[in-house]
Amino acid sequence: MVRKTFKNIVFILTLRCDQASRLISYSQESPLNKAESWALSFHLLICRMCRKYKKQLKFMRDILSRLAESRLYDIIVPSLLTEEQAETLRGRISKKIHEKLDSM
Amino acid sequence: MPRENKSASNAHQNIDRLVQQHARTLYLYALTRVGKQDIAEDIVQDTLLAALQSWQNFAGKSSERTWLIGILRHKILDFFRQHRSHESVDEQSWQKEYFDKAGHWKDKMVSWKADPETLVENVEFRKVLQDCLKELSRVMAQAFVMREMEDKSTEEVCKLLEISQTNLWVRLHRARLQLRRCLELNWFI
Repeated sequence: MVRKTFKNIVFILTLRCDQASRLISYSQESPLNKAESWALSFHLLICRMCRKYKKQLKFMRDILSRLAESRLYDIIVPSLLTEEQAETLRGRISKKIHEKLDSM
Repeated sequence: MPRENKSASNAHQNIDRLVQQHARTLYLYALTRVGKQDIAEDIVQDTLLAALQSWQNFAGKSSERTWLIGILRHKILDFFRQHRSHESVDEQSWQKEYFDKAGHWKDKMVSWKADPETLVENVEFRKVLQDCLKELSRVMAQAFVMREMEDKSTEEVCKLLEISQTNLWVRLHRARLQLRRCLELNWFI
């Protein structure tokens, strides 16, 4: 018991950025245990880099959930697909589907 | 027989209109998730074909676009299921890329000053984001896309990819580190 407590205290006080970044990431998946959560809170108090990382992960989550909306794919992004390329694409897809339907 | 002929000719007529109205959007939606143009194109084609074949199921409760996106999402997950990677993810080797021996960050970590809502509609940013997503290896990308964009639960993703929870977490962690660096270097610096 004493040994475990001691181990936890050492863990809490000596958490490194590589470990902290992992905990930040894991905390998005499932709640951390007590020792992990204390360790991360303590680390974030003293580490500006990991505070930024945490913020940026939140930012990325936000951006990606917005990117998931289908409405966004109606916005024309020429560098992703020009109107000319889109037209060629439509032609190819149409042709293939017509062929497939005929062969059924 | 006459009935079948009629539905077949209807299908043919519908193709061109569906392709004209939706192919571009469906393609970009798929491309964001699978990263490869030829694969995205095949998935769109399968989606539209499936839509034509199950036209009678389209009840008109949602818009045609929403219905098609629903089919497309199934097709994307099917693709992930068929192409899941069982490559094991080694803990040690890749961490060196992001952290030094003492466990400190190697990256610069600049402040990101932007509003997500406006940024995501910025066409140049969209291109950068798309390119960064494309850079993720398949091992990471599938897990990441399902979790962060398709909003699947940890359990669902593990089941579909046939991986352990720990393995999924490592994949996600690695994907986040890589994507963060890519966005920082190509947009925020």
